[in-house]
Amino acid sequence: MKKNKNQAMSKSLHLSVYVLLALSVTACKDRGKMAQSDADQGGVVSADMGGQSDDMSPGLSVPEGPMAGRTAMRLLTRYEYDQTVTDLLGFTSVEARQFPPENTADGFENNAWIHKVNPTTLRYYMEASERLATESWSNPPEVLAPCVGDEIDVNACKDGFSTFLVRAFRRPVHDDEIAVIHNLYDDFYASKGAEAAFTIGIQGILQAPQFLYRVELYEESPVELEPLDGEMNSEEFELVGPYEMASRLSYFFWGTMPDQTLMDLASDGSLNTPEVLKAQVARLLSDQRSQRMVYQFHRQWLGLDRLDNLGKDKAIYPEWDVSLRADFRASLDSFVEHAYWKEGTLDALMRSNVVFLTPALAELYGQPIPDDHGGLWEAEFPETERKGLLTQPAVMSMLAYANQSSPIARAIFVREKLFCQHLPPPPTGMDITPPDPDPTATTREIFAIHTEQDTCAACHRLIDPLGFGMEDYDGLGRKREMENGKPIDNSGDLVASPDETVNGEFNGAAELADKIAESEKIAHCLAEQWFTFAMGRHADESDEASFNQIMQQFKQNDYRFKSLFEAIVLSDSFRYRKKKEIADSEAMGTDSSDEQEGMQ
Amino acid sequence: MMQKKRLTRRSFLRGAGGLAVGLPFLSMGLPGSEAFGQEMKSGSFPKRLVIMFHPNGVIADGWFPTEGASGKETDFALNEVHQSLDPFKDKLVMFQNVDMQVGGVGPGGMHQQGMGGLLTSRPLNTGSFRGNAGLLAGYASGISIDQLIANHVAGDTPYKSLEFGIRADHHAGAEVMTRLSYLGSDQPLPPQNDPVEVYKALFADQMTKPGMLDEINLRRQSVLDSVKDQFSTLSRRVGYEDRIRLENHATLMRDLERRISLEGGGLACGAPDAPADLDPDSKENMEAVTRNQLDLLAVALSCDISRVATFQFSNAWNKLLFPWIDSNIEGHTLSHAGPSNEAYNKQWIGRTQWYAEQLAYFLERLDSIPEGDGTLLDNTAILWTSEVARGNTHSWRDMPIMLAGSAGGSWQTGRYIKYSSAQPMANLYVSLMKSFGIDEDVFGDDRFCSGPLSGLV
Repeated sequence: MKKNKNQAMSKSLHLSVYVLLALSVTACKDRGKMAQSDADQGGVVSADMGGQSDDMSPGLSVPEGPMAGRTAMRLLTRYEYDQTVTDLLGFTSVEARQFPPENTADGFENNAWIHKVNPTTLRYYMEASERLATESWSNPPEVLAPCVGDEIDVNACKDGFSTFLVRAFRRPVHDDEIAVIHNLYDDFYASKGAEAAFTIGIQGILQAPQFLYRVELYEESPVELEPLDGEMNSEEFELVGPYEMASRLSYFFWGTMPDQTLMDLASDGSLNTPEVLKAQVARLLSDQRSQRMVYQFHRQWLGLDRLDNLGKDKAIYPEWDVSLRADFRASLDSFVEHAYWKEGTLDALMRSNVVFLTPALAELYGQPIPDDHGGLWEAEFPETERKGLLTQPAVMSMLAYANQSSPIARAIFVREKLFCQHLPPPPTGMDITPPDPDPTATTREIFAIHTEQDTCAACHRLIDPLGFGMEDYDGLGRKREMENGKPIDNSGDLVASPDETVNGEFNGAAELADKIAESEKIAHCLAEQWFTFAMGRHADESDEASFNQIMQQFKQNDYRFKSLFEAIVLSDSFRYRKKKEIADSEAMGTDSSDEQEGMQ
Repeated sequence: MMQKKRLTRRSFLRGAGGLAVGLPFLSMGLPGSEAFGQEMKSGSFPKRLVIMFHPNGVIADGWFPTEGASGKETDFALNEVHQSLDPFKDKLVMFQNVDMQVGGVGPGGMHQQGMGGLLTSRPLNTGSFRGNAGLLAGYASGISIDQLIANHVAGDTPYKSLEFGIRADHHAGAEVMTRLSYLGSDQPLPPQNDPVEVYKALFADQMTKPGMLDEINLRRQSVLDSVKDQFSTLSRRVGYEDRIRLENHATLMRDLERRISLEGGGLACGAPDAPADLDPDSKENMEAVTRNQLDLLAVALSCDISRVATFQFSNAWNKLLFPWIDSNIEGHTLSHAGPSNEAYNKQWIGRTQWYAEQLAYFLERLDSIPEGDGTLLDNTAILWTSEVARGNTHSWRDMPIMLAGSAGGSWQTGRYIKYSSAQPMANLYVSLMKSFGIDEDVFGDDRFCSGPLSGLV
């Protein structure tokens, strides 16, 4: 069992990182003169050590039947709100851009537990619904056409609202849900006329929880559903209902409500079967909207919004201009698009030597491009100069200070974002000042001086040698051989990564990128991020079997992204859920953090 | 509720240094909200609370006052960094030797713990995700002091609280390190960084044509009633956990309803001019946006739109530059400078001084508005603090804490209180609670609180 051996090995290696860190942290702790009590510090470190497990290795026994982690209903994100409203009403909405940002979890905006409403959001929901309703009056969705015009057919209009409600709630609706809207309409029709009744009706729908949340109902459907192939259902787990499945798919791939095809497949009961799901994944992926979803994923995973705040010291980088922020972003977006849709493989994402250039970037990187080309220019660089995501200009510029490169930020990026390996913070009470730039020294020399003199250098053993090896890129992402008149020393050392086979010395970021691209741990980490994004939650122990299946599929298909997406959808985690009684008893057993204090 | 007479916009909120805010109509006794009017007649004014935050602590030499020879609390000279606040020295209380004991306890990196614990005095939740330092950390695990007091004192004010930000999400985004104010566990409140949006929230209804507002509110109420009905149709069909989520949502809906019922008659004054539409996340605009936000806060307090607010300058992970004082090192990085790095320390003190100047501007506004025998400033408690004591060590020992105003004479001002033994910061919150009429002896996690702050009241 080669696979198991590898996993066992990785686990022990993984542990060794923390043993090493724990030792160095202890050493550092003694120096923290202004530290809190030892007990408290110990608490910080041990809390961290205890919870670390970044790979979901399978348990000893394979569970019988399907398993899926605990989930919760999901509030639409700003992106999903606008996409959904646009599809529902038939005109473009940008209302949600003003909504307060989602509370993020590891960068992701769609975490089921953390993205919640607050008083400000509710006011925006209200005001947005009013503007959208007004616009709908002059530009109504087709099913609501009988509601507007010179002669209103009230009954046809109310039937229209019933149909509309199915689209808005993304499933067949109960009579009591329809009655709420019909009553509202009738009241206002009688007292204020057709326009008021119509707009009030729309507002009521757009503020209803059934619209704002992706609810996965645990009650009987209001319509009779075709029997599902529930033979795999166990005492604890059951197949997700067909309409819930339609929403899981459409929001994962498109960030919006299910289209008619998905709704039809839900109604005939065939959706949640492997064959149909495969076909649907292919169909969904062939639509432009899934490209935007891939962009959304990377924006959140890599924290690309930080590019909007990027600032450089013009004294050090005279070429800097704030307009480069947008260029960097466009360049990286195009690179991601290239890796996912043109090449379609993890290898392309990690190793492609392509950089997309705007005229300003072309000048910055000394790459002549034709004057009259449209859009960004796809430039191939020498393999030693550009190698995948890590060496993209936007990434290297983002992982830098305003006035110098940041070996630290780059090393942490490799560990945390690419390997999903997590480092504890420096202990309390430490003076952890980044050294000033020195016009007579290289960044490496400056940082080395700092750490050599510090007994806490051990803490940085995992970081600095890795980061120093990427010193052949400056703070604007330019490949460099000299810094401040001295040659760059780009020798690096990757120690204690989760994958022993890629540990060791290297020279330069491109070589590092090339080397780690071989690692299954990189694939594992990216798949884990995609899983989190797709499910709106982190994997828990009930997802282990699913995740292992996903990895197997991904690997067997040469790490093609489409196979990853398909494997996620076909996994038990995506197709099944905990039965209500089980979920309820688990939830009641935990101290629900949702209870609001002082609000009762 | 009838429409009230409106001030012309010109008569409001204009004048050199903004000294005219609120003053004319309040002193002329123009009609305000029912409740506010009654309080005015009886000579008692509501108490207000403002918490001002700046990130990454202070340098001790650039914060603490100098004691006088007499050794009395009232005998002290403000630190040079607080020079702009000297006119208000008699209305301040400075502290030394107060610790934020929750710091360093529980999950999360230091800046996460600092931000989440500062106003909640509770450790972070364990959470299901990792913070910036890779630690499993959720959001704070309980209500923050501003929200606790807001729940108690909001009365009929349209906004229970207001959360102002100045580039609050800068660099870090919406996460633990950028949130201070909590409705409850895992329920952070987002600050509003754009004064134009604040203005719309506070005054949009005032800009509505007279006569239209009642109609709008009637419709809004009807819609919300229907939405409440949808909550009940849905709640009975979902699982336990989702039901709790829906209940929390419905609770916030009721707050929105309450606000709607108060609009169109609940405000004591007319709308000021709208602030200029500036990009709120730009260093070039930071000074102007700060002024606009402070102006709006002053109006909100003086007009009794809200009685509780936080005012958050950026966040613990920020990369702010302050080019107008020649401070061009990224904020969080700059704060890490050790004691020997004089150039950086000087920049840091320059920033602290700038924050002090903003506070001075704000105090001047509040102090120019008479309320009874005193001023709005006297009826307000303004707390200025940070999420760590020192940026370079991330220590929580000896926190920077300044109080301005006295929440209606709740304590003596013009003092510098030096404790011989360290006091828990949460004790200050207990004192605040008592001053605002909440008779409890513990705030937050009781491990970090031992009662009211000794010697304050």
